[in-house]
Amino acid sequence: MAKYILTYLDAKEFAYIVDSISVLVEEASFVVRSDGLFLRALDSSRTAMVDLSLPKEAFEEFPEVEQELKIGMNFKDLKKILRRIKKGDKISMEVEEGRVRIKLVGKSVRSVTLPSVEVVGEELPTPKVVYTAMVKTASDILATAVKDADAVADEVKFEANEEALVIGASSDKGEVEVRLDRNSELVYEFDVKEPASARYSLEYLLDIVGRTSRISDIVTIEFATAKPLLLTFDIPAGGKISYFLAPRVE
Amino acid sequence: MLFGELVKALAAVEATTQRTAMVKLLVSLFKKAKPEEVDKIVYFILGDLRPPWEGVELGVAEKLCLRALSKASGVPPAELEALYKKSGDVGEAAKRALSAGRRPGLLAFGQQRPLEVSEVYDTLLKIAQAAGEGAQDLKVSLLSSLFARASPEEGKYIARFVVGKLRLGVADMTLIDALSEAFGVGKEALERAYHVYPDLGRLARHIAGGRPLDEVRITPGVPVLPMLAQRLSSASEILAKLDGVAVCEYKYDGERAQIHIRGGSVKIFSRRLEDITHAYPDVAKAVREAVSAGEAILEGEIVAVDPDTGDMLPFQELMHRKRKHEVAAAVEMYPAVLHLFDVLYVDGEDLTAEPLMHRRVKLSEVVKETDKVFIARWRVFDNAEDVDTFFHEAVSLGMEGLVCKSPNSIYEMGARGWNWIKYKRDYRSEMIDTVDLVVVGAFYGRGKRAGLYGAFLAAAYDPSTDMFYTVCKVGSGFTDADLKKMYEMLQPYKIPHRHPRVVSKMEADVWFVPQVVVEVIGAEITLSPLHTCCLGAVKPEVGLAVRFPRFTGRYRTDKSPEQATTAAEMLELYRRQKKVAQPE
Repeated sequence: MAKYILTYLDAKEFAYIVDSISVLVEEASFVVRSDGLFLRALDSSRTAMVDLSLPKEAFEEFPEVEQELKIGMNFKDLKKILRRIKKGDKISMEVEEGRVRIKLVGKSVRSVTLPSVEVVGEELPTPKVVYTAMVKTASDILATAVKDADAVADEVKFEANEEALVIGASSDKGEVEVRLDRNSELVYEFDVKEPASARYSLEYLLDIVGRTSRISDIVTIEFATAKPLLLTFDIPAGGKISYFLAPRVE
Repeated sequence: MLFGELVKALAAVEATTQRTAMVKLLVSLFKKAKPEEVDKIVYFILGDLRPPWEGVELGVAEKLCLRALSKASGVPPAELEALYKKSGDVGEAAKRALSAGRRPGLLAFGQQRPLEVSEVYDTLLKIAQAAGEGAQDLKVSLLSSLFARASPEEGKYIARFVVGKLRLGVADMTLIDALSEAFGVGKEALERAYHVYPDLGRLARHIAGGRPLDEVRITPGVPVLPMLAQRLSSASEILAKLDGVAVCEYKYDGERAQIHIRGGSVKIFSRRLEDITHAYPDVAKAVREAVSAGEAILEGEIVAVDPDTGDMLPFQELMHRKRKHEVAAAVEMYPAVLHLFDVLYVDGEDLTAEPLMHRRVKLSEVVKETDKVFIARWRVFDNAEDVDTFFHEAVSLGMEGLVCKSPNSIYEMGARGWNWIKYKRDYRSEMIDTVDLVVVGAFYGRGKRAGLYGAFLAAAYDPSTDMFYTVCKVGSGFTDADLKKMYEMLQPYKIPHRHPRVVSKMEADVWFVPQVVVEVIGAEITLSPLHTCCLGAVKPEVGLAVRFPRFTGRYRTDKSPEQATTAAEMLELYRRQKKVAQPE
């Protein structure tokens, strides 16, 4: 097997991406295609999926591949290595038969070699959902709303009508609510075709919004009544990371 | 074909009470399938992913299946366990769990592509092949991905299949009927091909692809269905069935083995076509050394022997070979030898249509006997008395009896006809008491027993003639210390020829003055032409013998040889033995 090299300019940002993926899975495969780097993984309870796409243009160096190249990684181990990143580092992944060398290039060059792992690949189709509500807002707002909900409950309710998006939670411990009017300054886009209401577990949501708000200031929230939630975060260097979350139903 | 379609057909098969209806349902199922799916459907219906000799196992127990199910359905493990306990059927539990839909997995949204038969089969095969570290998790993950996409009804059949409880009641013959009708081939021709190559999945694909059945040949590496024998319990009936002439072979009490040699590799298959090579590494090695052909298919009986005496041990001792991690130790403690009785194929030549006598000649040509590989002892007889004498000899030496064969018969794969007839007793006796026997001769030991005696010729006393008559050759039950002691005890009585008061048909290596008395127990007292005790008392030319004799550890130094068990007592013991019905 030949050697394939991918270099990403902002190692810190890459570390945030890895961190955001590790919320859901311990092991997953990066897939290198001719047009970019992709990853799709489902958590073990099968209620949450992460979908990453980084176009080739987002990289300083990107290999020519004739066919898909899979890089199975243990994200727990990878995360540990990436903790040692310094500001201004760039990161290279050198993929060779059975192993991946991670190179952190800054004032010095540090490298760590990890075995690539065999990840059980099951085909993961995109959930086919007609989202009736779409709101683009600041990722901080979402993160705060979710943290508020966590203070009182283990699930959060998303409700949208023509006027506003309401994120709230209630239990015998209390009630919280964050209301985003369509005309609010921090609502960049608002498109609600019909009123929607759905509940989602905070199990992953809390970690997702916590990590991803470091990658992107903006989040696109899409959902529909009793349908999955789709959160999309644009990555500054190009590309995006999305999460699908299954709804809670009675 | 969609898996759902197969499941619908299986549900209908399960619901029907008539075999003809079952066949009809299967015919229409096969007609709808693509040729490359037919084999997978057949394997699924049979409940095994691959033919038995490939040893492919899913390795999924109930617990693992429930784990996968819980993951896919969102029903918590404890609740699922309760569901399973209530119905006792994993399939029913799967169906319930998958229709509960309490926490739908993410992938349940949108149009999920329904499962294809091939996808299900291929995933199951992947589950079976998962090995090594993390295999359990991998199995769970693969299985839950199947359940996640399955409808409740599909999940039911997948769950039953993986835990090995599909139980559709569709036998190989039912499938043969259905396949022959679906693909327009003769039932007899398909059956014949099945005997030669008993892999219905493979045959189904073969005919579904329009290939002729006469391409299916006996193939080293693929076990054929063994020829089976009828059973009778009298020599005259057997001779009558065989037109007056019988090739009689010892029926060894061991495991029947079909041995396939291809170049340097040897595979041993059981009567039920399972690959049992791993249990008999010593036999595989020995047979490779004893057979001169490059390619061959042979049949024989694997027998456990006492490593010290070389005596045949009962069949049960081979069971030590069945526990995987104990094989190496069992090879030491219970060495096995092979007695070959047939040859079906040698270097490109199919011998199954050759007459038995011809195959026997071929067998002696390709096999050079060693201390581990033998040609089964055989004789040709045309009268009942000779058959009986040979039979008694076999039984007294620990055989189950004889297999009597028609000298001109071909090897009929898969058939239980009258060309092979087992001659077995309907009962087995149980020796009710020990006997005290006089040591009159001995045989030199081998291996660990070299330099000492390995076995002893033991006799009963007959006061009416004042002579000693042999009843057995006993080597079992002696510890190393016993053997030393026996050697020393017997030293003063050693004489250069048989003692005049001893009557024996056997030639011992060393003879003694009758003096030393030992206590012996055996499995039973049988008739035997090899021993002289009570010769002719029950049957002409046949005496009494102790079968599977064993030294109890008691030296009867308190007894003089004339106080040993008498011939009359032996006869009495023989007559008073408890008779136990002999299972088939």
